[in-house]
Amino acid sequence: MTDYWLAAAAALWLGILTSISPCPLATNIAAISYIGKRVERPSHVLATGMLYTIGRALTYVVLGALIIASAMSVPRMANFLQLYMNKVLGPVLIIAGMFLADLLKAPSIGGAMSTKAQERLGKSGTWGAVLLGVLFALSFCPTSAALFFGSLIPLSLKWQSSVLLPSVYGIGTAIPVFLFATLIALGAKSVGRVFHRLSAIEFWVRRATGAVFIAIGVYLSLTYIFGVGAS
Amino acid sequence: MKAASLIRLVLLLFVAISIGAIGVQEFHARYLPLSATAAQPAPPFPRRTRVVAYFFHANRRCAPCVQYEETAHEAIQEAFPDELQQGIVQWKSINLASAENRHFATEYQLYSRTLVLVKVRDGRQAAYNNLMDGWQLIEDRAALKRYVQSEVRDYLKEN
Repeated sequence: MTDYWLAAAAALWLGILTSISPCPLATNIAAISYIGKRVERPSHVLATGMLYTIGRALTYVVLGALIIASAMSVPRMANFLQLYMNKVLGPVLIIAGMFLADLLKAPSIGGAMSTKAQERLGKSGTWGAVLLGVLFALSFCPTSAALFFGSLIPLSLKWQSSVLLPSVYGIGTAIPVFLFATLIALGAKSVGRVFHRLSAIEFWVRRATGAVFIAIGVYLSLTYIFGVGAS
Repeated sequence: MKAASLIRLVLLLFVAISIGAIGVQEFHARYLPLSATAAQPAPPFPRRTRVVAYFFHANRRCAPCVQYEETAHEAIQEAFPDELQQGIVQWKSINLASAENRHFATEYQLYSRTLVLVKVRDGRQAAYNNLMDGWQLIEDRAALKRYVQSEVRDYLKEN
């Protein structure tokens, strides 16, 4: 039993290692700015961070289960995700960033939107964190692919753990992002209180998040689709 | 207001071009004939066994990937200069993103950038070793070199 908990600790460490390795830096910056964007409400930052963590953990559980329970080819899945997800991520982030920066608006059915519908759409910003977690978890880079497919999956296979170890790994990948986002949000809130400009800071943080998403989306598209900077 | 419209238009255009480019690349990869690769002259075989070191990368090379590739290449150049010259040890850098190289992924069970050593005996592949453990030594250049050299040496032993 102790060995199993040691394996869980190893899975957590592998997740943290994945998160702090340099290759997912761009997506981590996007996640940090998304989680910490509602600076006036720390509870919102906490909820968004937890939903982002759940999104990541769920993705690794599903991937782990697919590999462990079925005879799905690890190389095929790993190469498919590395080849296509990073390409798709760029345009998706640009569109998401345009919504965050109010450059695009969700279409309303039948003209004016009801207040309830608008409230629901506002709340979906929090739930969007789950989607973001799923999307970023699927965007494997060489280091994260090596750690997930090369270390976590063999560990999960050894312990026949298709749920606990992959989900602990997912939590590990989200912890540094979650911590940074919370610290930044709390810092921004303190600054806002000092200058009595909380709503103005909130307004600009949201737009800055949109700009970060767009910039990272353009960077990922140029790198993975157009091969800019590839040697 | 006009600036916002212009930014919106430019970004949407960029997204459309990006999606189009993904489609074109996929079409090329699936339907266009493979580029003919020039037949390479067979190296002289003074011994029965030779080792081919493949480093598999993609279009975008991340910093740790470059570090792994450079360290492994240096390790082989430093320890096996004569074998490299005689063709007993060969170094090949392969782009897995190229359609004609994708078969390597299933052939050598590749799931990330890595170094694979292939033992060729009497002109045929006898064994291969995926050195994924090198990723755990990426921060320790000397240890990574020793690991690569020891694995190549093991394959050459059986001559």
